[in-house]
Amino acid sequence: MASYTITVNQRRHTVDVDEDTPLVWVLRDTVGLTGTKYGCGVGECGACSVFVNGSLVRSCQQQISAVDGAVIQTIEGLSPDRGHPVQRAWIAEQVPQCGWCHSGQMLAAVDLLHKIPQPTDADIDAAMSPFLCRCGTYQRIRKAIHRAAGEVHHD
Amino acid sequence: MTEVFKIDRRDFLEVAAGATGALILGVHVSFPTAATGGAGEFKPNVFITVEPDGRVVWYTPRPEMGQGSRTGLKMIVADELEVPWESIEIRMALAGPREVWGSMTAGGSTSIRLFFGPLGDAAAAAREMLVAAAAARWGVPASACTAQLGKVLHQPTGRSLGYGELTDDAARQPVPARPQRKEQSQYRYIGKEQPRVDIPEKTDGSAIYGLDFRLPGMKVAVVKRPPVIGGSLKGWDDTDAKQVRGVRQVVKISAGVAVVADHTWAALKGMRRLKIDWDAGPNADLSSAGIAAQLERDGQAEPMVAEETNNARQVFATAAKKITAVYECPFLSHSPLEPINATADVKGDTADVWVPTQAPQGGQATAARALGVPVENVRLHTLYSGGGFGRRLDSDWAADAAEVSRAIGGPVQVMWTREEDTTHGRYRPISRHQMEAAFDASGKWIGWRHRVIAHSNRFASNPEQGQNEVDRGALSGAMGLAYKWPASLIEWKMSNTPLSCAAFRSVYAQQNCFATEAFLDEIAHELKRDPLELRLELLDGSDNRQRALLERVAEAIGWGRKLPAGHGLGLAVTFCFGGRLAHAVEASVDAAGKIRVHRVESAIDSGLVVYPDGTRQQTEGGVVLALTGAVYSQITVANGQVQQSTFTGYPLVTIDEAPQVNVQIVNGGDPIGGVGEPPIPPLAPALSNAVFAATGKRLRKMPFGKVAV
Repeated sequence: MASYTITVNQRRHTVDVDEDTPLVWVLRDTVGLTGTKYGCGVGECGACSVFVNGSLVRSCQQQISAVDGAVIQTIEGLSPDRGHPVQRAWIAEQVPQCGWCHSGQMLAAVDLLHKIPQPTDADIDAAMSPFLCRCGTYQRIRKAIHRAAGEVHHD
Repeated sequence: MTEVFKIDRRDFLEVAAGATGALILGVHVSFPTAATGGAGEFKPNVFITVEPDGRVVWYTPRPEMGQGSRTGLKMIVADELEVPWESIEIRMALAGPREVWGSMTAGGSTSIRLFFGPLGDAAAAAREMLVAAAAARWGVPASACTAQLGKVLHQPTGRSLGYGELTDDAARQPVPARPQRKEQSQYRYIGKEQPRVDIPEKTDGSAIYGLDFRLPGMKVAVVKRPPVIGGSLKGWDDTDAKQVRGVRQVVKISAGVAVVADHTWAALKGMRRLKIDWDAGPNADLSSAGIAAQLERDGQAEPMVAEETNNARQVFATAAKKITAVYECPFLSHSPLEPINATADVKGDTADVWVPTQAPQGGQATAARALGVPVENVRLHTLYSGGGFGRRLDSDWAADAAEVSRAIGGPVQVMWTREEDTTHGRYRPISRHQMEAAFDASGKWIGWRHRVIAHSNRFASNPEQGQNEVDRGALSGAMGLAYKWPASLIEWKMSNTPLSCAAFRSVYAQQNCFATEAFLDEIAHELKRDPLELRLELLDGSDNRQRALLERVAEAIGWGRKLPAGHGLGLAVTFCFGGRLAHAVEASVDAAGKIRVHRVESAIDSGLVVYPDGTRQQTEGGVVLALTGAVYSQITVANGQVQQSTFTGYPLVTIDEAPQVNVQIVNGGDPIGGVGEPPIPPLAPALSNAVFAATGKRLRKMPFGKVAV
């Protein structure tokens, strides 16, 4: 039992939770941001992915004690108006079906484009294969990443 | 033609009291399975309102789980009402009686095909009443007025009135007996590219799914059911669990036990520390090997004849030569990515429940039963589902939530873990398919036989009835096919298991289509015939629409072309849930035996396509879902317990394994058919056929896993 401070989407939150509480539940239950999804709780699906100090992590695998003081970005912090190139591309390519995995998918795409601004299909496969989608939207994810890469390039 | 009703009461529409002056029209959609009023007692179950401020509110009875039907249905309303896309607000209706709403269940690929007529009629009637109201106000004939994007225009004088200015008058107009529907050429939205209504809020975390719903003071509960199928709870020791900060209570529920806490992590941790004493019950020795042996044994027992043509039994008794093959399909878990959950707030003998469900009325009834209250005492609010695939047709979890809420005297959200969903699913039933082909002395093919031995979704809870009746649903994709078999015998043998089973997207059509379409390839091989040609011949004149789809996908995949070494092509076709669909697959097997699908060419004919991109989404996604089932998925049992729990043991196809899927949409005529289910069945057989073409190895048992080469 302790107090931890995290900055989520540029807002500071001091939370009083057990040290082993996974970040996903701090975000969803304590901070009140439900865009970060729980899909498996064991780091296999990627739906709970968020940025912690700029690195993409699975928030179900991060205990709060390990991220005290961290700067965190969730899907809600990607843009104020769905205007991020990845969000625009996801809408333009009509990617989500049920949508549950896409907070993680989109942040993974942001991470990929940050590291490789013009990814090849092989780059996309390598970066995105740890993110599961049960509805099977993969080919649209691929197209949307290419589209976003084009937009990022021209921005 | 549907009868359209004017509605003067709107209490069941859950709108603010005092809203007056709106035009509200209802229409009755008749559902084959719904209990409706007696003959002539049609009651409206679909409602459209035009508000005095010009907004259109459409109350949809059908849940959205990612299948996209909400967008397709909105296109019908927007087009026939002739309003701007943005002016329609969609509200999910509260679960209500079937006499009011018909079936609210999203299942069976029914939403668009059932609603296209009646929903369009209601919208067209509203449009005509608005036009008539404007014409009356101007003192001109209605025929001189036209509706255009939420306005009525009188072109000769250039006058116009917005719909909102006309609602009061329009509500006093008689409802047209035969509202004029638009011609296809007049469609503004139907058949065109329109953005999905639910996508924007799914890109910024703002969409509220079941698990995202919050109430003030809400507790969170994690539940556990007996690990052995059919087991029961004996008791527990919660000393350790209650040491977890935030754990409030441990509650017995009908299905097992719940740990209630202030937040999810405390509930999860508390459940981990709860020492539970289970009674294993009668299935402690149940195993997959035993179930397979049971199906094999039942395959030797006398089956029921479901369909016989051309004296097939005699043909098989006297055939000069027969080839046989056994195809097998395992139990599957739907595993939608949003875990199972429900929220309940029980107050005395009434309750509100919020459920991501495919079947709002089923959830309402389940919660009411659990509480022992009349169904109308439960207000069930349907939220977005993070995937369904048939998993959310069931709603045991609404009962979990209702029971826990009553026990703690306040609102609670119940969540199942991923492990709990995988181990306590309502699985796709296991099946065994004994296939046989008969040939005469000259080698001519003279008989087709398909014996289905399967767990019966229909009769598992009522096996006595199943002793005397064929489960025709379980023979979807096996009987009544368009193929002109020389002589055919379709047989059924029920073989129920203790596992809880239910519909999985495309239901039994996938297992039966797998056996049918792959064994047909075996026959083509035996006859030294091209599998495409043989299919075209068997469909010639009996279903030219399926034939056309096969020709399209064959051309698109380059049937007969020279392939890279180790590659093979396969194809298969289905007609299920009113939709026809063919897949052609190019696949190879690498040195390690891993199947690689390079490309899938698909063609679907479900008649008039309302929402073309929705059709593409369902086909692309359906290929991936079916590919996962074909190569990876199976639920197995040992010591009475399901052995898979998370995605390591129950893997899904990932992006690097997902093929490019190209979809051709064909309108071969009326009526409108289903779209959600047809993409599933033909994928596994097309892949099996492609792997045979590539390697000479016939895959008859799902999941295919690695191919021994």
